[in-house]
Amino acid sequence: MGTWNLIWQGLASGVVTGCVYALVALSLVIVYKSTDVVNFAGGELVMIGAYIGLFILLGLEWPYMALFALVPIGSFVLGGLFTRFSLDKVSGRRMVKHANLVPLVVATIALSYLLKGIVRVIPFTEEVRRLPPLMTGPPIFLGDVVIQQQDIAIVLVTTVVMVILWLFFGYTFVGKALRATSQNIRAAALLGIPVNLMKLSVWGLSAAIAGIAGILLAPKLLMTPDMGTVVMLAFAAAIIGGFSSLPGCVVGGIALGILQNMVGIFISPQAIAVTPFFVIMLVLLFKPQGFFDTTLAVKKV
Amino acid sequence: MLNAAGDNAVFPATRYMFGSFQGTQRVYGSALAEFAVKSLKAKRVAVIVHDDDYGKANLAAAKAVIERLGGEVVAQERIPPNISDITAPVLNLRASKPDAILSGAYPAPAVLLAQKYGEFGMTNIPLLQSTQGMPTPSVYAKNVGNPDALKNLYHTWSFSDIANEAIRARMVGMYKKSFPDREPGPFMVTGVPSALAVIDTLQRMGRDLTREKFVDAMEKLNLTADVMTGPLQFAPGRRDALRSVVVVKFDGKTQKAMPDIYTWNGKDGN
Repeated sequence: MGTWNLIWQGLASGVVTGCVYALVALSLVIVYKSTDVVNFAGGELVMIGAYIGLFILLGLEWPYMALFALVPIGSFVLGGLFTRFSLDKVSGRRMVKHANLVPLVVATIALSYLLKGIVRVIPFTEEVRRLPPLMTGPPIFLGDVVIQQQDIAIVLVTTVVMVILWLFFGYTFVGKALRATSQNIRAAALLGIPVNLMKLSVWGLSAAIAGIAGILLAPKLLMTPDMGTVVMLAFAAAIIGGFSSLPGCVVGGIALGILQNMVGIFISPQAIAVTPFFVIMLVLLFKPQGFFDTTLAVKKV
Repeated sequence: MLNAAGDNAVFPATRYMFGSFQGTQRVYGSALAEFAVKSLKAKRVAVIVHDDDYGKANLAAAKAVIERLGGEVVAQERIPPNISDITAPVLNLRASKPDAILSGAYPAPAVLLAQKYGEFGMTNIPLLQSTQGMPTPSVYAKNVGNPDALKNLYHTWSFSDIANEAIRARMVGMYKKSFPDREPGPFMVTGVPSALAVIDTLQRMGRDLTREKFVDAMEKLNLTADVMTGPLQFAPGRRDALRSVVVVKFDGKTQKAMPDIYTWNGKDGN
């Protein structure tokens, strides 16, 4: 296999895994943009989404397509419940942007351990599990480059989710209200936008996106209670994008997926695991605002 | 008493540590290497292991045996145990054009490896997996989800239960007798040899039990049990119990033990 074939195969596979990283990053960035809270439970929401999907497929024996309706709904409810019964209590029902952020971030860490713990005590999760592929069939060969139908499905689903998000935030009343709340929560409240409901919706939406990422990841990465560690890759993707840019984290996710493969091919597979951390360090060091952050920085002098 | 491979716990030998009742990584690596070169006639062998002490031991033993038998290690891929995308290492394995691939991966990466191996159409190359990657072969096959990826798959095994179903039934029966409300987990069987070793030692000791005398007696263990693929032995300078394993061909449904028993010589990879 020639070097160019290696590169093309690495690129193709990197785009696929990068799409999923991008989805997880989107779920983090949506929350951060709206509440200033970094969600450390993002990975565990991915994991929960995957296990809900597995339960629907194996326990209820419903068709695969049902996952794409039920997992986001289940995850949305989970995100909403977390906001209602944890974040609201921690922040004292103040507008989140005016609350002390540290307890809120700690609450997300607690959620991550809680979810992992709950899944671990279920006997069914003792063994590594896997969702069946989204699509099966013979792979597509482009020269020596192999593309699985499942990979095409992952890219398509990711693209559809991104387009829906774009339309939602750009053209729907609720989406615009969410954006307004994220930009100036006080002004939004004065305009009559129910900011607490918006906050709940943001966490629910974020959890729903993470749940979809879980469905896409579970056939590729296998399911364990620890599969939420993928969140580190999403953090790296989000940081590349500036942590507040939705298109930025999409580009960041795909770039990271490709970069990991190139590092594995040309440097060492051992370096794959450290690549996201190296990227985080480099970006924070040389371009801390990321490559796509358009937020104006205001300094008090 | 360690049930796991535990290479870094039993090498070098220390007085109070006994273990590796299913064999060390040195045993798995050397067995698969010998099987690849002698039985599969592989000349070019690629090895993929984890970048930890277990992977290091597996690779060192495999490499020593392959080179001793006149073969060549054409790729050595060391992967992190928590790797999420195994594309790059598998591409490197494919690019090395091996006659056989030896894997020392743990369960999750072992499944990812087999999936990619199948996806990239490498199934004409035998894939040889160490025991720890597939503690329950049926679950492994289900997770791989591609029967094509299993058509050229072999793995090491330390128990006689594959060739003799009655032994498996007996072990499960003993477990169910003590724990009637539970189903035996994937690692249930791994507790059997260490229990046998303790019973044998206590029987040899008689009633005069002290810690030091127990250690002295355990050090003289030389137990041949029908459930194991080789004798369980210790010695003053040896704390790894099992050095003989079989290689099993697994197609996703049936398991067939290959005729030979592979015994690590205590030197390769040390």
